[in-house]
Amino acid sequence: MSSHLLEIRNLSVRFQSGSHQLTAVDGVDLTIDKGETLGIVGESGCGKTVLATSLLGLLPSSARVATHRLQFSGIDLSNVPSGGWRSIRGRRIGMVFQDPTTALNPLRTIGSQLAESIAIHDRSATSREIRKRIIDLLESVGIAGASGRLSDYPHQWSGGMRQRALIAMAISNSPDLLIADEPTTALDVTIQAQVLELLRSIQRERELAMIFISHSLGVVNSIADRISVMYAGRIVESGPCSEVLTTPSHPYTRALIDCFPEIGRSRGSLVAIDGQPPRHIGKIDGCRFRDRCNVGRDRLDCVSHDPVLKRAAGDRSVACHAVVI
Amino acid sequence: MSRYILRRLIQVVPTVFGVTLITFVLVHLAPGDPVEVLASGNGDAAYYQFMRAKYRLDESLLTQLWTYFANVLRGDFGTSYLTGESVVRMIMPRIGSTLLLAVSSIVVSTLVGLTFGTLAAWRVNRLLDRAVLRLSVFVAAAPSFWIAQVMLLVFALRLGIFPTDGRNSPGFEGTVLAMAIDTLWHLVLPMSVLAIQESSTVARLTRTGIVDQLGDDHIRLARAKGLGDLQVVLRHALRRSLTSVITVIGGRIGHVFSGAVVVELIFGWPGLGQLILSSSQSRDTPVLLGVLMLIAAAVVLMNLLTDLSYMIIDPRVRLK
Amino acid sequence: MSSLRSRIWVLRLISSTAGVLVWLLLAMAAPWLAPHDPFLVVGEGLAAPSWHHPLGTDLIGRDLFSGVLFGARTSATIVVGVAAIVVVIAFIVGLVSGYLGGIIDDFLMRIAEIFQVVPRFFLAIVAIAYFGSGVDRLIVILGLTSWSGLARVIRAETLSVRESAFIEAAQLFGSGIFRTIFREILPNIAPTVAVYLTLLLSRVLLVEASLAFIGLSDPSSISWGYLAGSSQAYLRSAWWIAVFPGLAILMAALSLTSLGDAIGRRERK
Repeated sequence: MSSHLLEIRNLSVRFQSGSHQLTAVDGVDLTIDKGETLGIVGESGCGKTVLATSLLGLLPSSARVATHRLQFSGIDLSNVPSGGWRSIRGRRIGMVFQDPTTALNPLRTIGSQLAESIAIHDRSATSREIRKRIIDLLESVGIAGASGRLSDYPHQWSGGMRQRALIAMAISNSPDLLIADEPTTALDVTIQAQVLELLRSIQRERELAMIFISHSLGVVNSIADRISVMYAGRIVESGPCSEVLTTPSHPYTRALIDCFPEIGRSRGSLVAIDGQPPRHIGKIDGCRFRDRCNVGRDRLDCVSHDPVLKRAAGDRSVACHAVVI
Repeated sequence: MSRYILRRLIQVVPTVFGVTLITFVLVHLAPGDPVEVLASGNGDAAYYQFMRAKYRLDESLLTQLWTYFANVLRGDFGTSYLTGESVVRMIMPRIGSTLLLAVSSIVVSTLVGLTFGTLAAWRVNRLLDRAVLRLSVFVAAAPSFWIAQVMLLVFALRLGIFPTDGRNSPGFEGTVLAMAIDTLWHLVLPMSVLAIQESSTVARLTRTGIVDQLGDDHIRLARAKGLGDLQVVLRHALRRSLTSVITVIGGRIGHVFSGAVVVELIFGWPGLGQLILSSSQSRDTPVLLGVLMLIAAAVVLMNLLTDLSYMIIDPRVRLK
Repeated sequence: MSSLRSRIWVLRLISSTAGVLVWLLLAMAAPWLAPHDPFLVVGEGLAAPSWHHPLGTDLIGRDLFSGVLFGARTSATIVVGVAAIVVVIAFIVGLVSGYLGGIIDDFLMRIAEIFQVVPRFFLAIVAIAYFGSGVDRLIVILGLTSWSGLARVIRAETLSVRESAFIEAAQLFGSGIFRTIFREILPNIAPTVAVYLTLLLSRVLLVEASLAFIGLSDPSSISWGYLAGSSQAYLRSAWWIAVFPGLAILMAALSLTSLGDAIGRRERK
């Protein structure tokens, strides 16, 4: 029995469409413990959202999931019986989506959507109880005067308030794990900071484990305890956030940091990483980053062998031939 | 909001006016002399002249139009060329029957269509879904009279479950409730014919509207909350597809009335359908105009109702 | 599109095109294919389907099979005629409206709206009652009441195509208006137009059938709807007179809608 809250070993997700197969996640290892925040960082298309979605079983029917281990708090997530998701989604694992404008149903009041989150999992609650809980929830996420705003519709609230409502919905049943998929990307910079602070305080108070997904190192840096860097469906580096970002091991991590001048050490012009992530992940020999890597472009082992995530000093792991462990 | 309703009600007028205008012009462009109908072939030239003057057919088209509308505003729709009866009196007893038929089929088809469309979307691409889609294609291609005749054959003539025609059984007398039940019994077949066609359209649209949303964020969120598939469809997807469904139902109202004409004839349902046909064939212009104006008004009013229902469904429209 | 799906699609396309073609062929070949003159009394009245009369006979003994064949001819004539009128008017109005825009656009669309609002069926009843029920008149009436929808579609497509870059490019190279229309715009809007047209024609077919059913068809030509309508009084004893003509209409309309659907699917996928 694992002591981790969530343990993922060798998770792969492929999409089958007619004769085409697309690999989105290719052999990912992850763990997260109670009360800690794991940041998952990567470019668009690296598979981080698919990874998060697979944890809740919300992938489309064309998806094929294969894994050695996908354990959450004693439950095998790779093998959930058909009625079983109901007790997990929204109850043990909560999810906050990226765009509060499209995620909320524009035709129903905020109050009714929040009430729904609670009523699904607590059949015996009376409407008065639910109402009270919703008001408390909204106030705890920083929405003042909540009792008068329950009959508002989403379009009447600002983007930041909508995101808070989404967060409220996700934590409404005190889940053990919160998955936040780019929760601040669609918001203004000033609001971003507020929402991040909100997430931090919620996490502290409720001892939530949180998976925070983002393409922005700056944002992840301010909230994550540990960080996993994802590239082309794989985790390429992982470890305590501050350590990884100050002394990155993997060339990709280093390149990413250089793109974000506020964390990176280089003070020159903005650096962009040449090239594009590979499109057909399953078919590449060797390291999939090698075409864009200034270290491994010509190394023999980088060309021929796919590096595996290996334990390094302390709590860190890297998947790179060029790193001496 | 009430100003909006008022505005829309006022808009009814130009539309009805337009329809009447077209019909008026059409009728007067036609070859043939209306007086012949009036005089029923009797009389000589002097009589014709007399009739012409009496019915003001010797005046210019514009004047006739003007007089007609002036009268209509006073509630006078003229008298039948054929029988001399007041048009209003001819139409009145039949309006109820046609409205009963049309409205009941619209209501039933909406409910049935929404139900089957939702069920089909719930079990997307499975048996029920495919069956609904196939069936609706067939039904849409079938002429309504064929469906009517087949149903008449099977249910009324062979199986004898339902009556073959009329609105009430001949010579039937009884309490209000008994009469109502008798009417309903007679209503079932003709209404079903209309409803079958309309509900297949509604079902297909509902299904598509829901299925199109299945990849949307708000559906993902609903599922992430823990809602089961059926609940997701009912509570979130359905409402959003309602607006487009209602739009189409609104647009089909004219079609329902046309279908009602044929159905009324097949089932001997005593509505406006028979009146339109007989007045067309006998060139009884005042009656024809009266009925057409009425149908135009009914269609426009129903469109208004559908527009109003948008407001109930979509709060974003309401607060504009 | 997966290969299984595309195979099914091809099958659908072929079968629906075949359906339409069969209909047209039967229509053209009716005078030679039909065993009897549909107006002649050749058998017992109300005879059930038999070897001599595969679809039975009507009240006075006319062969229904021949009737259905000639009915195909009538309906095909009407549908083709209406298609011609609709296409011509809709293209002119739609292209002019979409390409030129402005007041002309507004004006033309207003006119289209008037024609769209009035229920076609009722207008046709009135027109036939007052102008006569010949096939030629019917074609004109149905054509005049059906063009507005297609005109709108063409206008919309023209508008969107007009804005695209390659039109500007073509014009930069000096293409005149007509060249632009024929070589650039038309090929792009053809599929959408084809889909809309087939669906429209199937609806026209149904309207024509209903008009014939209530007795407003050309008495000198057999129409499926007329055959079905004449059966009304003898439904109990001679169901075949009602069922077969209606079935013919169903199949013709189905071929048209399937064809439109198949073309539409190609565009989507």
